[in-house]
Amino acid sequence: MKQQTIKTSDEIARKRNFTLLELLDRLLDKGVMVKGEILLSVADIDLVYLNLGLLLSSVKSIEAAASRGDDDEAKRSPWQTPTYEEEFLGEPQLEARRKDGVPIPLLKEDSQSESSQEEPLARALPATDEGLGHIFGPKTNIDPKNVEKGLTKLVLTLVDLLRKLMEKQAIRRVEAGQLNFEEVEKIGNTFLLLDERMEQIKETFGLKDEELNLDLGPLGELL
Amino acid sequence: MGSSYGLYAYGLVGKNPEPLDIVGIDKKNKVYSVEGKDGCVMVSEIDIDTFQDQVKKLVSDLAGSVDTVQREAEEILQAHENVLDTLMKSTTVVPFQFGTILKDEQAALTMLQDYGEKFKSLLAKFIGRSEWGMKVYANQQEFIHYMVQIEPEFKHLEEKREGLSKGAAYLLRRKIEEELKDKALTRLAEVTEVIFHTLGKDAYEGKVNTTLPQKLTGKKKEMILNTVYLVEREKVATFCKQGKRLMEHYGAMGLDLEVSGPWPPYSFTC
Repeated sequence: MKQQTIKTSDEIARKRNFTLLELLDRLLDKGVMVKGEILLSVADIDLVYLNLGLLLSSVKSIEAAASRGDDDEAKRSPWQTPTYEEEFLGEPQLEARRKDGVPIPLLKEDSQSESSQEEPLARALPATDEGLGHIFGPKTNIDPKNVEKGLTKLVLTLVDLLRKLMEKQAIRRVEAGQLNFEEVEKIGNTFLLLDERMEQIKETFGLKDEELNLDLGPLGELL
Repeated sequence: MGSSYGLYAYGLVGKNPEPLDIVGIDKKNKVYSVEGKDGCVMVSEIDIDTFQDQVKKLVSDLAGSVDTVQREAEEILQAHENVLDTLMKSTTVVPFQFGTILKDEQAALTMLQDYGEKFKSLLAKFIGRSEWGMKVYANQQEFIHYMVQIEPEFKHLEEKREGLSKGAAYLLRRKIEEELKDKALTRLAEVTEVIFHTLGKDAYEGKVNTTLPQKLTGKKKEMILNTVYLVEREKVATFCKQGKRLMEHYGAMGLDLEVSGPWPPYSFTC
């Protein structure tokens, strides 16, 4: 009761309608955990913890693995394995899989003509993709367009990494006074051009800066 | 009920509370206490099958998209919390993790015996105290933007850049960006440290929990600090006032601070 009055008297404490986040953060993750035979095991509770565990620990890597190149990542639930879905929810995952795996023959030509107007770096990509799409396409139902985007992402990520490393090196040398005025200008301009070019490519493929990264699992992210 | 019968356990209290009128997690059966030598387990009868269905729903919602979790599924978590909340108003509670289901009253007694010492020390620690949380969110870009405006050294660099030719200016910009990012990260780390300690002054105990991924929080800003405190009843008001002060101070820097409580001391049970 006493607590009640303090609560109402204070503006911050007034809220008291918990967000789901606050509940999840506490009820599922903390509190006394009893173990042993006295407990009844309810299989689904383990699933709650499993799901939460996945959410808490490795959202990114699971997401990346499950929706490689998938356009609408948000709509899918990456950490639901087929076994789990079939067993507990009875929702046929197969249907979803068939949906995003339908080969659309026109796509390949489309994307090719679209990107052939691109600069050399971009043009090199669809060609590689064609090969991969041909090999993997029928077997694993990978949408060629997604593969192309995935590859672009990978290449751009690496180029970006190199750019950053070289830029750092250049800046260090400028600061050490090892370069004369013209050299600084030339190097700066080169990087500026590369930067502009990368922006164009990113725009063409609808990639955002945040996407240009590699999840290296336990090592963290590349960039 | 047969095999489907179980006892949902909410938490532990020291003394047998007054006759209670709290509806359990199934919204049907009343909460009652199973009394042992040193404490009581608060339980209510549940139908396991029904509960299982509700949990399934929660799982599928959790696994789906967190921001669109149905109210309905959330209710089951809220129900667990509500029972403890009501108990907390009149007595000290040691909260259990969600989904603790005992076989029967005998099992509850066995548990009281097995965990007797642990429960006793937790009860002693929790008397007259409750848990309060503070979560801090920040957007790095926004914070950098803020820093540039208040730090004269960066303004100076920016002016210097304007006088340079294109290529050299590009390199200098990169250098500034790099430095800003480093500085912002260091500054944010300092800020979280300060926030944690400032609030901790009015608390009995403080803890830093792991920050939650954006996917789970559903916020635009990234969580940079997730702390919990065990606060004495008498100090709650000062604690909250301090929280509010921090909110205003760091809010001006583009940081979002969220205080929540009072909670049963979930985070201090180990």
